[in-house]
Amino acid sequence: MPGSVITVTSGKGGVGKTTTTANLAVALALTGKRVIVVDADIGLRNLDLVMGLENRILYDVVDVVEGRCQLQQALVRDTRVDSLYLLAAAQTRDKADVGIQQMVAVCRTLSNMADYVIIDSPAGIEHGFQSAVAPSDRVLIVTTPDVSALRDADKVIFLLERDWKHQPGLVVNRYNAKLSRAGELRDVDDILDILAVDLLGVVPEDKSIVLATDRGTPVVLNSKTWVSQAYRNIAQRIMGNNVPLMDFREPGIMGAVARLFGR
Amino acid sequence: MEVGEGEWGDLLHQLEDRLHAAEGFFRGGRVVLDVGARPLAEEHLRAVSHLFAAHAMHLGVVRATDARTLEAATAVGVAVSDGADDLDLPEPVTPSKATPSPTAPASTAKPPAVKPTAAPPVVAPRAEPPLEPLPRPLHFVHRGSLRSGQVLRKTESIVIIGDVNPGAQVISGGDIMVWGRLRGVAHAGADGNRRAVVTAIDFVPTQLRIANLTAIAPEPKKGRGLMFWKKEAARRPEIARVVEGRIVVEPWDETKPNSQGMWRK
Repeated sequence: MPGSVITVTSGKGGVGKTTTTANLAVALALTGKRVIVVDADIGLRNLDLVMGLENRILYDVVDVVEGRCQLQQALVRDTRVDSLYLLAAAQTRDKADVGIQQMVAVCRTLSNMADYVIIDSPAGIEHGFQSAVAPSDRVLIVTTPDVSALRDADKVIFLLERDWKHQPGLVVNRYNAKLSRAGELRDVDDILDILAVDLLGVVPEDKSIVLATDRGTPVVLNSKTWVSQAYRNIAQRIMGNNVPLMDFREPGIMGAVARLFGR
Repeated sequence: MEVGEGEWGDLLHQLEDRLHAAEGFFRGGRVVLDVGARPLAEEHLRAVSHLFAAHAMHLGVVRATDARTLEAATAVGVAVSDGADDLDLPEPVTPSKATPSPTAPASTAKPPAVKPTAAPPVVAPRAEPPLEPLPRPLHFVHRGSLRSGQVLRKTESIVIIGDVNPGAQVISGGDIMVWGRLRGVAHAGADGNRRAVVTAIDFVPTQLRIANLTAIAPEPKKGRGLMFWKKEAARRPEIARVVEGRIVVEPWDETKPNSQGMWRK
């Protein structure tokens, strides 16, 4: 049975598509699943940096499409997790160099080799977005709680429902629970109220994610970091397991005091 | 649609502005131009005809009481009507008291009160072989929410069973009723009908337009407060309508059905 193809997209740029893709891929691979991540952001490749695999790339997706190498040759094996592979985007080429049908064909082949194929979509709603969505069985929308990200996410959900008949799942990224509890910023309920889609998980705003991403070691690899649990939970939900939403209070003495007072 | 009195050139500009403001609402519509007693030459009519054509409309009939105008219209190749047979229009669109410079109301053969509006082909009053009036629904029901970037545009009144999200637009020639949250842009009476109303269960539009009037929702209160007693009171359904040239929004249970004649449409 072929694995499922999951596209991570958002509409707006900079909300954490690539970080989410990398962490979910690692989290799924850590449970023993075979995972292949595909960077569909051709011309602006980033996923290899976030996963710390830049120096191992020999061939990219454009080489595959244009027949310069076999698909297996272009897959970069992760150094830390055995069952994780990366198909990199080309940095020197353009989104137009890979047609929608070619992308579908590549991902279909990949899905026969893995349990999960995760596609990191480029920002926007143009050709790159379309070729990232076309092969997918499921779509994950990443948004942050701010207005512009929500507005774009809403538009993308509209396009997915209209053109692709997809019912996307939602990941709320960079969630600042403190601000939301104080009523300063909209909380998860307010976000779901507008977007009206299934919630797959919430990732709190935390500096360890920023630092881990910058260093090319997805935060999930470090199980000591409390936020890594957020990604593990999302991975569990993708696999169909029901896990409760995590507690967004930072661990430690202050968190314990706050918990005591129910805040 | 009615353009006031004044110099021909000014009126033409006004008409252009109005058509522009309607944002293609009348696209594909056929126009009945009522010029009253104003004498118009061929070039005037050509100019109007071009203006309508630029907005993807077609000048179908010219109604006038002046013989020269009728002659000119025939020369341009537009059907004419001498304005005596107004049977099709319950409210005469011409305030014809003003003799020296009467109005030049351009109207898309729209019985303003009875039917919502008419963008698709309409029947010209007797000037052309009589056509069967097309049966037209009085309202359009949309089930489901409108998301950012979605536009729903109808000549008839619109009922939405669902939310209108920020970034979405609803444009109607008649009323708009949202059984849900209205957070996007709503434009009721888009053909100039000021009697149109907008209603919603949760009424927080980004922008509200009725006919050519625009209103912006007041700034929402920041945050909901930490304490439960500071929580916002439960929202009530609200209704927006035009009162004395301004858009007024009121909770539905505070509007008296008989006030302002709002139900007497």
